Amino acid sequence: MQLRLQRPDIIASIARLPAFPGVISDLLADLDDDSSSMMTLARHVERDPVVTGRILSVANRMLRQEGRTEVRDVFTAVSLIGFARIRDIVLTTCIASFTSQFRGRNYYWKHSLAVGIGAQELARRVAVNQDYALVAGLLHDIGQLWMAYFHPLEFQQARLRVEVHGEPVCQAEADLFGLDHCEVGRLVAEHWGLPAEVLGAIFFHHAPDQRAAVNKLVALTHLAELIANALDLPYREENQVAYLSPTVCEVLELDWSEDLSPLLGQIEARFRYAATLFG
Amino acid sequence: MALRQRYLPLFELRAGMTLGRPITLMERGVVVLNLPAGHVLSEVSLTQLRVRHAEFACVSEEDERDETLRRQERDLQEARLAAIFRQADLSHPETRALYEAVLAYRTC
Repeated sequence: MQLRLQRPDIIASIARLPAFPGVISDLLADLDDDSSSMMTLARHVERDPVVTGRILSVANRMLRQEGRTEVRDVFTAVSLIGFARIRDIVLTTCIASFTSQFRGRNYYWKHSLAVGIGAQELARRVAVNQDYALVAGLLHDIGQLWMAYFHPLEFQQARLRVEVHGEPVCQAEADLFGLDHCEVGRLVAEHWGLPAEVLGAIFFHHAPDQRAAVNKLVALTHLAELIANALDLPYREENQVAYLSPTVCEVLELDWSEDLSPLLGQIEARFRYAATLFG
Repeated sequence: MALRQRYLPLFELRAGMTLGRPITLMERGVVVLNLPAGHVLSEVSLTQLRVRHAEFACVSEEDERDETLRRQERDLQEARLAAIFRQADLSHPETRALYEAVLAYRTC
């Protein structure tokens, strides 16, 4: 059946999704604040006991691997693990925890994790905020999660058209839903109060030429997704790469005569490490 | 014998492995650990990597594959990449460059 969804339908439905951890928007809002500190981070996290428990669980898994004593509060975890690293853990754990409430999330989560790590590694090379890159990568396909949650039958039909008939994903979704996952994702992320750059990356990651020149996060997310698929992170028979935008290469100043093995190796090794840490 | 480089997550690193690339770890803009390429990992350096929250390292090892095995592995990688890039136009320079970069990484 073809749905003819309109933007107000999507916005009205968001309240029926599992609750999105507000700490993510709080943390991203603090990034531009020079006075942001360990105390602020700990205070944001400790507002939510469930989030606190999950973050301590991941932090302790990491500390056990390092042969160190476990911690019982976020402030001590920040002190031992470091501010930048614990922020990555908080952002990733919150999004992992959110997506774990959806059925069939295994591939979705691992793909998002690979794109998040890829975007973060690319961000290091072009001086883009790495936390924004991580979150944009982790949430770039959030529109597909919405589709699978509210309209699983149509979502499966769209997948079938892409995987069996080779139809472009946005075209199949627009035909079946009235909107593609990029548009749905942007509406959902906007409702959650995520920054404009992240909304742009979610909206334009399949059509980067329109926006990559003014928002490098769009370029990073587009390329990170292609790299994740090209490296089979994670493996799925249907993984594919169809087109790399020249504008994206220009914006990211990619030099193809350079050996890119270190970049690809770092993304793959970090993905394998993170997949054991975040499940 | 030829050497090959592999990128391994922290939990796969073992004492006796040789770093293929240097490791520089920083905290708050300060270098806290610097290991050069060629450094042979010891239990001490592994502990330093763990305590400094390293996630991975590039190790260099002897490539023990013979030419036949190397060829077979390359064919497998090429077949998989051909499947992944099945809808791509590889006469398009940027897409082709990405394909070549991934193939070079997978077959090094």
